[in-house]
Amino acid sequence: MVEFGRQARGPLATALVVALVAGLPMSGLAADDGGDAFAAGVDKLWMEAGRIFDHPDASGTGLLHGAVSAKGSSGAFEYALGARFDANAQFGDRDFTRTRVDYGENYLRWRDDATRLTVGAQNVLWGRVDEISPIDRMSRADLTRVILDKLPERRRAVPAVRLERFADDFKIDAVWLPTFDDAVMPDRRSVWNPVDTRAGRLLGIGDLPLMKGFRVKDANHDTGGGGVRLTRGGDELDYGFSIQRVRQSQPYYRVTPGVLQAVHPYSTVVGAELEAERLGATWRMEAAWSSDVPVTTRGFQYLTKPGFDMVVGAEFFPGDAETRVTLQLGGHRTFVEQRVLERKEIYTFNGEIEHPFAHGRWRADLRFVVGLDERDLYLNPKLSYTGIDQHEIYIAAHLFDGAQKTLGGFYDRNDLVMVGWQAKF
Amino acid sequence: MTTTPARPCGRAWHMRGGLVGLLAGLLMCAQAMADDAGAKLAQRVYDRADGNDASSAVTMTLTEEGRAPRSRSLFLYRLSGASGEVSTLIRFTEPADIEGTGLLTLDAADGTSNQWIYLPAMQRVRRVDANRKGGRFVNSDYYYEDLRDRKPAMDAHRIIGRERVGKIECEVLESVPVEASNSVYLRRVSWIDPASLLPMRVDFFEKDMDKPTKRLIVDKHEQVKGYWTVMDSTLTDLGSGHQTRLTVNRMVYDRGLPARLFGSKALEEERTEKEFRP
Repeated sequence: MVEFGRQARGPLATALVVALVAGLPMSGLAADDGGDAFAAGVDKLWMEAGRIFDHPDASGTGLLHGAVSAKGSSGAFEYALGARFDANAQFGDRDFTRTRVDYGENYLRWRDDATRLTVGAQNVLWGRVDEISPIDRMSRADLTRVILDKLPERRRAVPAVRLERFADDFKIDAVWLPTFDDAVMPDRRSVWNPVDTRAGRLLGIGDLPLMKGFRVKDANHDTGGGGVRLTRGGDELDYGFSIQRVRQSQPYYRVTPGVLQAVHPYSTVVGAELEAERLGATWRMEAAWSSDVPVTTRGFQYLTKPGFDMVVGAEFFPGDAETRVTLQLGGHRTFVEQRVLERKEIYTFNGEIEHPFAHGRWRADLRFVVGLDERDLYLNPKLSYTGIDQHEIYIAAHLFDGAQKTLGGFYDRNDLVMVGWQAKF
Repeated sequence: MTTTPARPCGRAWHMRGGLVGLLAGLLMCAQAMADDAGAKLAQRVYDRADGNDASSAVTMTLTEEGRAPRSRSLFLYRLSGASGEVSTLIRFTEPADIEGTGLLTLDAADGTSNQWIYLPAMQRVRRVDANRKGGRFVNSDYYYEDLRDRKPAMDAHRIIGRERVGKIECEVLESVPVEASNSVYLRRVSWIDPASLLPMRVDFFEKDMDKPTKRLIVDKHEQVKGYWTVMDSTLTDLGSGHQTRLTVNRMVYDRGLPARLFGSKALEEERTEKEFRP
């Protein structure tokens, strides 16, 4: 069965793909005529196949992805047109194939020596830490594969008006999201979907038998909000402050009779960040206070309450050699007095170990998340061959385990091994 | 950038000249047997004129027997301040998987450094460890230490002979770190061309004082706007045979690069830097 996703942006995105791909060689077209420049082509191709071992309804997954773009400039103006194609498949009793065409970066930018004004769909990724950035609230989340990919792959362009102003070591970044485009979610039948109405399970809550057979209703919001971020770098300490009033990209599911209603509540987020090099490591920290974190009481009352998130991490190279290690401690607390279905506090230890060898022709990686207050484990070992420029061939595993309200617990039947190839052009 | 492949006590290639130059800097080591002549030669090499600023287009080719070569293209900019501070910006343009990646290094006159990298995939500027010495730079045979400025006083130098490298009669300068912890090398030996003050060959010793592990050879050097510049060099890992060749395709000195080229905007916005490409 082939189905076009709800956010496929039908005519626009399809037209972009057709227009950009038609007649373009893989390496693209490029021209630079004095101050004018133009380049177009295929940016990325990616294929992957996976075997799921323990899930009763799924035995494997498949992915085919392509991205195309055209970028140009003339005088003080720049423009970008971009689109992506994704085909996700799942094999087994709950098999499906879903193809989607979505927009990439599509913007018009004006710039001078100190200012950039960008209008259109663009990537906005605030924050400094890896994987779980508390102040990264502007971007549109891509949850089709939940945590399987690294952070940049889990973010998509968002329609925005953005003003960036540089002054000495300072930068002011002001973003307005005139429309709200919610997170890209997995297919309803996907083993990665955070809602399982067949078994009565919800990510973050665990088993909820009463929701078996519930209908899931998507949200329909208008504006997305906006925010301002001030950062400074250049000396021994980089730091920044931000304030945002934005809708959360990922849906929260409000329990109503017979229906799980997706909502994206507005929240005011005040953030602080810093980055410094000390003791042979690069230290990164982010903290954010949020005015409205959605929760559900045990009486199924929907509430929003204040919350606080903090991540502190260090990146270093043991023995001053090739291996790069990133270790982070993360904590979340929701300030709610009532008894709620979610965890009020979450503490994790996560990170990545990356070891290139054979002059960078091979790379071994391990990403991990370990719960500190609840049993929660995610392991992602990966071996990649990168000996051909622009290409990566890999084999990877994703292993989950944990208590029922944790990420590892919710996906503990989804252990899989996958092989893949990707190329950037 | 003076692509000086090896400046015996020298400044990192990115600082003063070219990838090559950086290496040169590291090479000098002399146990506790420094001599005045060696120290003076090392200082002359370090002080060699290389302009107030430099811009270059460089190709880095990685080769290994039996395997397809891998190539990286980059632009390198260096601005030397009046007080001894040095700013360097590197922008990779090929291959596609690292295209747009930028590396900004600000070296203060007191020897402290700060470094940031721009990762296009994340569209983020991140601080990185500027004091890193080991580890291979973009999988080449160059270590991060090879890219950093190295003051002559960090090594003890002595002249250990004269020897020809090709047609050039060179002075052979040995350099040994004064503090072993400030270098990944136990010792470096450089063959200095007295005319250009460029090292024509550098041997690097990492684990054995008598057995080099890497060798840098300058294949071509010439004067650009009056400044001696390494145009082509090869660094060989003597154990594996893996080689890193640096070819300077274009080099421009003293064009008045502005300070704004060495700031966060130019690092994260390729188009700002593009205006200054040689």
